[in-house]
Amino acid sequence: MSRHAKKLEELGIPTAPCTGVNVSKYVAGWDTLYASGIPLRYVVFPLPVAGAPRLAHEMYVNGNDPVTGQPIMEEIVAALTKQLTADEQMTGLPPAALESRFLPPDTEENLQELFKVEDWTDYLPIVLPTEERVSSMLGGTSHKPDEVVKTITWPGGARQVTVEKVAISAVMAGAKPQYLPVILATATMAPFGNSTTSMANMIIVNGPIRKEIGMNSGTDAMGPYNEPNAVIGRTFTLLSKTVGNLHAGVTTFSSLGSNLQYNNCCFAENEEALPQGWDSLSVQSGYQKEDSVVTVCTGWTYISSVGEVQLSYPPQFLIRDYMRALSGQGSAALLCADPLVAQNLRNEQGFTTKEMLARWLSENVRIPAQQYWGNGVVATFNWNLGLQGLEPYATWQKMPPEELIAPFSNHKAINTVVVGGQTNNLWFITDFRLGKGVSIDAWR
Amino acid sequence: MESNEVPRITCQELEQLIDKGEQLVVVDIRGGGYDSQHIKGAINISYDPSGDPMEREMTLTALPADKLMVIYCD
Repeated sequence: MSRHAKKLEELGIPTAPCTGVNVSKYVAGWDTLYASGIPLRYVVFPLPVAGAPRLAHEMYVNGNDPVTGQPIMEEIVAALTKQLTADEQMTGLPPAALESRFLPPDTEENLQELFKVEDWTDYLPIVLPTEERVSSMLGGTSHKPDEVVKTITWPGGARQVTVEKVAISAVMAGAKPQYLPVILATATMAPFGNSTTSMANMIIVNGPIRKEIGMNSGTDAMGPYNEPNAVIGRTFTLLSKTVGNLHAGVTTFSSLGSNLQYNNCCFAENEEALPQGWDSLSVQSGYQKEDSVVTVCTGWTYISSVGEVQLSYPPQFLIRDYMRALSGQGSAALLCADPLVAQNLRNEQGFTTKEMLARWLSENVRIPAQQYWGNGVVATFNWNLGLQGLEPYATWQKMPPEELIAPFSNHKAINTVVVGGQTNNLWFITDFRLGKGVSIDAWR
Repeated sequence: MESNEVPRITCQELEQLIDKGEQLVVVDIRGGGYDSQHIKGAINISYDPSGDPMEREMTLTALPADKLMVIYCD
């Protein structure tokens, strides 16, 4: 909304952008703290707006701005008609915030508290990133400390993720130097999901580095039972929060949040247990088996099969059934299958490749059109494309509400990762979409 | 910005693809001007490099990735 208002202002058209009270500080700060100048005159409304009855909206319009206490309509008229003040005539980027490399010396107890006060942690104890510890961590890579891994431009500004900053987060999370190449490769995909929805990430590691650093791809791989799985995932969170400048209610506004963001569901694929003909995720991405690769996935939903596969109902049937609960956004689904399930799918059900299974699911998962369009993310991003004639959305939006559609129309976005210890034949179906595989070897 | 990972085609090559009836999606991500003029059949996505990357990513993931996509900008 700010961007659109700014565009109008650039065209010489006065605006009075209106915002909900929950994000009013953020949008006001957007112009001066984070972004591209042209301060706007925001008018603030109480909440809720979406879903509230018409009477509530009328009361808001006739009432007062909850921040300034002034009548809302008078503020709108003033925003559109009053001359700009000197401060409001600011243009261009705000000056970059200065960051000191060091904090003043203090006791461990006080520094632990400071990190919490500044919201630089996940509120679990951290290892304080002293110069010595960070220097030792940097021994895990040949890259220089000041090398820029990437630049994060959202929310606002341009914050450089350097090798040293990644090493600082790695120390805080409790990482060992030998984990650093994985962490640096993962950092190229930072920050983690940031949305008012419960967006989350999944980190999957392939290749020889899994064994080199002792990652778990077997029994309890997706649980809290392995140091590198736990610590690499946690580092992504700490890096996202600190360098990414993500603070709840200030720069990030997920209504519920996601518990997955404590560790970002970090694990390794059980490549040794892949059925014959099933390639690992990294090989599917175009890498060689000898390459070490990390894939950061993005999604929301994570559904367990709960019990073991039954002979009376082949696993692909229940996977299909549970996929009906996923949004289908971007056709994305990621099956996390124990090797026992993968073997069943390969040997008993005849899916000789992961792609064959993806094609079957793409064709057989069907939901009513109204269910598909009933999801806010789908409606927000896909409806407009349908109105422009893009298929299949153009057809789906004209269908009777109860008519069935196949929302996972692109089978290439349905993926499978084999993980687990073969103590039970279980699976998870998720709506996580694979990111681009990133070379870990490039960060050694 | 040049990217080594995204192949580029010329306007003439695009015209040939369209003439051959290739299954492709043409996406106009210019800052403005779509309403007054655009390649026939192109859809319009607002691309703001300073905007929310998640928003942009969600829009891009909505595109049918199983088809050839041709994206043009200013």
